[in-house]
Amino acid sequence: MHSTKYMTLCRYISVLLYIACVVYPCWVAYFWYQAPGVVFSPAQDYGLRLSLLPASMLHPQQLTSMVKCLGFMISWIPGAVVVYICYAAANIFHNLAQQRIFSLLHVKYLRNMAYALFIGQLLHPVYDLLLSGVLSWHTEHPVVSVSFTVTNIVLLVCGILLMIVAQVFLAAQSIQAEQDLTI
Amino acid sequence: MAIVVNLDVMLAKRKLKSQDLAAAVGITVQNLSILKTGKAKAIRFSTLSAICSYLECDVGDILQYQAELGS
Repeated sequence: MHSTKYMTLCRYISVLLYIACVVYPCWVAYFWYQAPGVVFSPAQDYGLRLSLLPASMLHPQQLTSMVKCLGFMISWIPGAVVVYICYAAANIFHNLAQQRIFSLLHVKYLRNMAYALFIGQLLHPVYDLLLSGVLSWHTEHPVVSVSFTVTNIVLLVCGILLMIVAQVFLAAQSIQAEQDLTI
Repeated sequence: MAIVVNLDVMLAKRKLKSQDLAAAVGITVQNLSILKTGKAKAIRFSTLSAICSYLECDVGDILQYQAELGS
């Protein structure tokens, strides 16, 4: 558990997650800047779609600056959740790399990640509603869509599991503290 | 804590230093300090046995129960 390889792996993962905290907002900004174009056109040849636009709007019309601005702001409803989860996970892996395993900080981060997942999934229908409305309000037939898929339910369950893991870490931290003060 | 640790008293009686006791028992000076100041949560029997053996004393000479005020 405390091997050098494990610590190195945790360090690399934390660095990747810190980078993701910076890259994701830049990608969101760039996406909306050039929307409705596709960010990485070669990716589409292999069936990979990197787009913040709903699948139902595969071929959207030209977007105005106002729509792009609103779309960018609405993207931060799930975007904030993603960035926070990456940041919290990066901090957890950073502490793991320094062999601080059972820490109250981890309990706090795990709880907050669970709340972020809950809130993110509960706000997903709102995000869908706002984005579809903004993208189609200027068209001839405005459409609003609301969705709550199996993915959202799975992520909600993941949030519950994270909360349980946080409680386990809390119990482990008190046991560790008692162990540290056992001479 | 109702258990009082009288290690300082025993070390003074035996004219021994904390560093020597820590080295003989196999614990760090910091842990010995935690024990002396009463901040320890628990002590292993092996540690207690090693301390009593080094100081040539009984457990009761090191650990003393004092009822807390108001109880």
